[in-house]
Amino acid sequence: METFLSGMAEVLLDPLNWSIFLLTAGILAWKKLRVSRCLCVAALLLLAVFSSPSGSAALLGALESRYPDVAIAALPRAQAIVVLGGALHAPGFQHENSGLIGSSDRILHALRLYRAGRAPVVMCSGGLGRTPEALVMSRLLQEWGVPSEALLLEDHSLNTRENALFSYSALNTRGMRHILLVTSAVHMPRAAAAFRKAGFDVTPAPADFRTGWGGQGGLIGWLPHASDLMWSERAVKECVGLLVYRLRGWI
Amino acid sequence: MAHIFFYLSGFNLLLLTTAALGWKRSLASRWLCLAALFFSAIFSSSAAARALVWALENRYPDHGIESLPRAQAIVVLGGAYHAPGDSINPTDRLLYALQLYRVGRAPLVICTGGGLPNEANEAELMGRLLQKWGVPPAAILTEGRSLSTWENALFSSPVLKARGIRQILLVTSALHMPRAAAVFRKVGFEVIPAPTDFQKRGAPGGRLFPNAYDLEWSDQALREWVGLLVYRLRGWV
Repeated sequence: METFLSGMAEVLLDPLNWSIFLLTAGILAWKKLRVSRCLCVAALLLLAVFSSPSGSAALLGALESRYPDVAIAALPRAQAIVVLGGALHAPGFQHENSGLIGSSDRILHALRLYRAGRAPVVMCSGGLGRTPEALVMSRLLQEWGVPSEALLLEDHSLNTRENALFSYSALNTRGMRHILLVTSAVHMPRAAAAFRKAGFDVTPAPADFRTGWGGQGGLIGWLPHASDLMWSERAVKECVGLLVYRLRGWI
Repeated sequence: MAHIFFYLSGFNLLLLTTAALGWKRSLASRWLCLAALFFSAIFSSSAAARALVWALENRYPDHGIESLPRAQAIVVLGGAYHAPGDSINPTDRLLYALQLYRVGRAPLVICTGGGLPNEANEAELMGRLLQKWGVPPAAILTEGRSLSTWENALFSSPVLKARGIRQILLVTSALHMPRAAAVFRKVGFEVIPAPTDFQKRGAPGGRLFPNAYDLEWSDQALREWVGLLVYRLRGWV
């Protein structure tokens, strides 16, 4: 049931599909000229707004502005840095090395925090994949010079809530409650809330910002772009994720 | 402005807008709407995205670092240090260049790429990150003026040739490699492609329904196909 629901959510929460549904309805209702026209124009408007840089920036910005970028020097010292998975391509059949993706910025940010001495320990949290991503992340951090004794793993979690719960049981036994939480800025509102709910004293250290890099103003900001449609979708799903977490009492 | 037609969602909007404007000619309008629906549905399917991306990435598959020969230099292409619009990840290229350097595939890394709004150029930033990761400054060269793949090759050529370098390991995203390798060969280098940033690695089973993620990948791949065509017509490859 859970799988079915999340599968349905995948489809239904994608603005591209809203547009496709409206367009299909518009074509089916062809005989009723006025209805049909309204449906097709609605499909057009939806697609135009969600696939524009301005549209996606507005949605992403609403989430990312909750915890704005903080200079590393301005962050307090904490007992541990916790960096969340979903930030790498794991090595697989075809590729011997892990691959960095956009959200790998999280790992780089965790490294920066560690190097700046903000905490003596980095915990990698994430259990997705044949080789759990926590392990893949920790290998990369070692490759970049973090000593293995400064790395902790939590490699069972499959979602944000489990990131929080499992990390808490691992860190609490070591007496660590104050953490610097590193994840993508768009994910931070839900992640920070889930970690607080689990019992941590959380200082958010967001990374992987999608907005605030400039260069999308004026008319350019309204030119449609498939990648903006994708980012709008990501933001819509994150908003719904926040809602679902709230309703279930997970945050 | 012309490049809007290379973007699938732009093309779709164009079809729909024309349909809305030409509503009086009901039949024509209907066909335009159908065409828009068709494009949305086809290109946002996993099957289409995979096929389009695979056809490009498979030109130079990943055989592992061990299989790559030694060369005189590693050339790593910038794409966009952080372009919010793109899901291509130039950072992965940098990591791969670092790995190649560390296993001694070449004694020198050349970062090429310019054009960042209100910032140091991209090559400069890439060089700094490589230094942070432990590559000595003396082993890093930068070329920070190029704004396209063609210029990457054109502008790094004198930098390299001044040092007598002819054989290079070329590092860029697998999707981009067919065009990049051809351009560097065109300006006279012996190119060993070292592709990275593969998109279809370990991807979960394809999604059945249309989705924005796959549309984005179809879009990236189609743009690369158009790029290849344009480069061929201009005689750059």
